[in-house]
Amino acid sequence: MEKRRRFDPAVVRLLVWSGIVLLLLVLAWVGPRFIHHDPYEVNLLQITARPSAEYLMGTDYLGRCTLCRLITGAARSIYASLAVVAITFIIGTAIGTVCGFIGGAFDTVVMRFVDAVQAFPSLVFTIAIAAMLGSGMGNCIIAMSCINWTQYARLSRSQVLQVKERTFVKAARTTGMTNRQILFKTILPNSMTPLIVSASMHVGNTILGFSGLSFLGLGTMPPFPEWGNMLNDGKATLQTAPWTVIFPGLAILLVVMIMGMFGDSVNEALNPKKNTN
Amino acid sequence: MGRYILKRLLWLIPVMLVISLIAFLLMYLSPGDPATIYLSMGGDSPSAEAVAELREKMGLNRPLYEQFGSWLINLLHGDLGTSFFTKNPVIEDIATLFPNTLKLTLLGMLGTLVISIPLGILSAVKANKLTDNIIRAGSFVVGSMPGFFAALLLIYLLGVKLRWLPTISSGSAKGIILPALTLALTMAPNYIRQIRAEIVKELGEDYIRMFRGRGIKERMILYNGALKSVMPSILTIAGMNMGHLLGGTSIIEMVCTYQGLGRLAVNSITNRDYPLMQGFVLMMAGIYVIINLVVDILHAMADPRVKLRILAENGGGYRHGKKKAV
Repeated sequence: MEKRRRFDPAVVRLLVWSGIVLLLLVLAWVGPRFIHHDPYEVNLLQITARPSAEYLMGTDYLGRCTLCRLITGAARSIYASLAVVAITFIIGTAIGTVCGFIGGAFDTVVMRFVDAVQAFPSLVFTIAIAAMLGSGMGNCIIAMSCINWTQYARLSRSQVLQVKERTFVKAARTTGMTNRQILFKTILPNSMTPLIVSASMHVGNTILGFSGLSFLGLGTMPPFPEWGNMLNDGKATLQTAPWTVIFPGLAILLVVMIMGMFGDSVNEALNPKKNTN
Repeated sequence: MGRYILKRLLWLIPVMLVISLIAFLLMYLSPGDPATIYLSMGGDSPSAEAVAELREKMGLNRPLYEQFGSWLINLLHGDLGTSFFTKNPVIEDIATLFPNTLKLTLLGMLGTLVISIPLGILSAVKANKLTDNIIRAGSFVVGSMPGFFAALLLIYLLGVKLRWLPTISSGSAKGIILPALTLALTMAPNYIRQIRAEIVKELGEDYIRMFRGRGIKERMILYNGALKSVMPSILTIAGMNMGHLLGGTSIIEMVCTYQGLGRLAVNSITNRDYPLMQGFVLMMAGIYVIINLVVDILHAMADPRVKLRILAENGGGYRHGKKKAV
């Protein structure tokens, strides 16, 4: 039995995809040390040059190397999205857990507030908050977090409500554990799995949302490269230099796909209910 | 049932209140003084007296709750204020562009269903065969694509290379095709996945097995059995998505230069046109809430299981985990 478990294909898949995601994170971190051109250097002789041996992905409207900018921008695009997921996961889970555990008027008020926040068209609301705070990476992260925590709050609340009724929690109560002990030692560990699954599946979407914001010019300030704003820069030269759009777009696509696969593998390995699809 | 509907309608009031409070705070908490922003729309910086006068007129010196109160009262009279940028009443600006966004959304949703229903069915019928794998892989790739990237690719392909469609969507009837197609493509993967999952589940049900046992043709089973029971839930999802979609077209409208509300909203944000921004946020949130409510009520009326659960919740049917007569 033990031996068979070790080779559970779902776990193997999870390990493989975790490895790929880790590799991606490391590459985004160290990549900028290995580039040949200065990603900020404006070269007016090389404006929108075709992809060549010198510039593998061509240059943009200021003659900057697209590949170098892609590599430099990777860290911003990826780590910022991870930060959003981490922040919303922690805040949302904390609030939702407390709501589910305490219940009563506090729960009702908070959940109505969650309803109201979720009633806003999320994109517009995020844009509005980002605009209110002013552009910049940090503000973008805050804006996205302001909206996204609600889904974790909902999920963790319903988890806690379910787990609270289970026998082992009642047993813990009869043994005289304090509320805090019950919460941290029995309820939380047993309600984490679906939350972790959904967090891992949100990474890709967060990257998409984040790139959308910086595409609108609300993220990174120029001249710092970020994939979304590279696409925005490329938009103007789409007709003459499509590579300025295609490569950053493919980069986002690739990373979102990897994160999607990773999320699926987490779901498959951790979710006790086998999926039909 | 009447009680359930009444209860839901009453809940609408606090939710709408919170929504309007948040929309109001958007302007209140924003950096910069609205009066100064209003007066510097022309480009030159206003005098201190003019700002002070306008602040008095706009009521910006009054306490927060008073400002919110009068804003709310105006709102109930259908007055959303005047746009800083166009100097038109916000409600007029929104009313002119709303039909465009509605058209785009409806067309996008239609496109989504046209793409995803056949593909979803095909994928489910051929579950785990080559066709299914190709459809799933394709929709995974397309689903991982940012909407604006898809839009730019389509503009490049259909507008620049093939010259079938205009690259700028405003000003011509054909212009709506590109943004609608983008919307359809970006939404379809989700729908394909849902439809496939639902049909696969439905095809495993006992009554389908019974049909098969009686020798009824697969095609008949699919159309009269599985599809009939799956469609309502797909249409429910589509209906609920409409609300989200109406507010989510901004980026695509921006990329395709489509004259719609989403573009207006993004522009209002860059222009710091707070009344317009508030109006947009408020209206979209309101539509979203109301659509959800209607869908929920229709769902409750159509589905006996949901109806029973609601009756139980409201009439004290299931309490303390014990069954009581409903």
